[in-house]
Amino acid sequence: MNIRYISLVSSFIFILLSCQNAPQPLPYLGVKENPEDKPAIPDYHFIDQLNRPVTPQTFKDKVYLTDFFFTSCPTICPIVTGQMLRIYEHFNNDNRVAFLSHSIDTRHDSVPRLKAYADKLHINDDKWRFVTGKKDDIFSISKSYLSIVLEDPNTPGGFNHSGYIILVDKDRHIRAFCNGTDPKDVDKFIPKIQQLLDSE
Amino acid sequence: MKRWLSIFSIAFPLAIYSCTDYQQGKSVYTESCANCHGDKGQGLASLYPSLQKSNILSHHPDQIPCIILKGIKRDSIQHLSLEMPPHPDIKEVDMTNLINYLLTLTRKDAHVVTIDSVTMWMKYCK
Repeated sequence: MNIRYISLVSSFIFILLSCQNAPQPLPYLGVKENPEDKPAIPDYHFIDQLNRPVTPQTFKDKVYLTDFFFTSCPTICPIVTGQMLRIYEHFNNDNRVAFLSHSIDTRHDSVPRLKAYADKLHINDDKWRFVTGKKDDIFSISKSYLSIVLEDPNTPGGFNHSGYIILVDKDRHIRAFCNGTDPKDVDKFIPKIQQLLDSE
Repeated sequence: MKRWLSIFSIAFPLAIYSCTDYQQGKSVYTESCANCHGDKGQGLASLYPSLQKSNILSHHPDQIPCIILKGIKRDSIQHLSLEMPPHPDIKEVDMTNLINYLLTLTRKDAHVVTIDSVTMWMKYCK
């Protein structure tokens, strides 16, 4: 009787602890009219460092991490790029993960310049795309990624922008983001990427 | 008692010195350099050079003021990593503190540069 009772109680505690440790499902982020909405990133068409088109089809069946930067940025971009590189190295061998960095300085960041930038990071051009395109298109899509991009001549480098790293699932939904200028925030973000991969 | 006093009189200033070692230079570094070169001067891949392994820092400290004052301009796409913005407003005292801090990134027993040398190097640069 005692043994039966003890095993019942211990099973109950085990189930309770398991429930507490189970991570919450990642939310669907974005501007919503209804709480159950799942906002999706709209269509886009950009050009990468090898002059290849980049569209949502490029990331079919992949989750991707994305940010906004420019190659001559003297402020937060080097830090965010460093954290993107950290995440890249963490998921280097996982083909389900891709990276997309949008240049916001479309006037200066030509395709060869993006290629030189990518080369100096020693990354795989198929896994991490550095893209340029029409300025209006890039500024517009930044809003869909919940990021701020503004031209500001009074700011070092001429642009004011947020340093978020955004996680997008294979159905083009934003599922998480972090402050790419804060390595500790990135520490907490990496398990969320793994959680999304495990759930898909 | 005398023995303890003499140990204390040597150890205390040494402890203070080691705690405040180039803190002013570190503060200038954090404000103006760390975003690109990293908080410990480690750099980022080949994009932003590591200062810990810098040949100029190790062997040509006299060239540092000019690099900081004028920056390094991009002369071709391939030399992207050599692009560095100028910092023309930095004064002699800050420059001296900064260089002395930078020298500690390459080696702990780095020699110290004086403000007289730095002032002269800055004058030649202009």
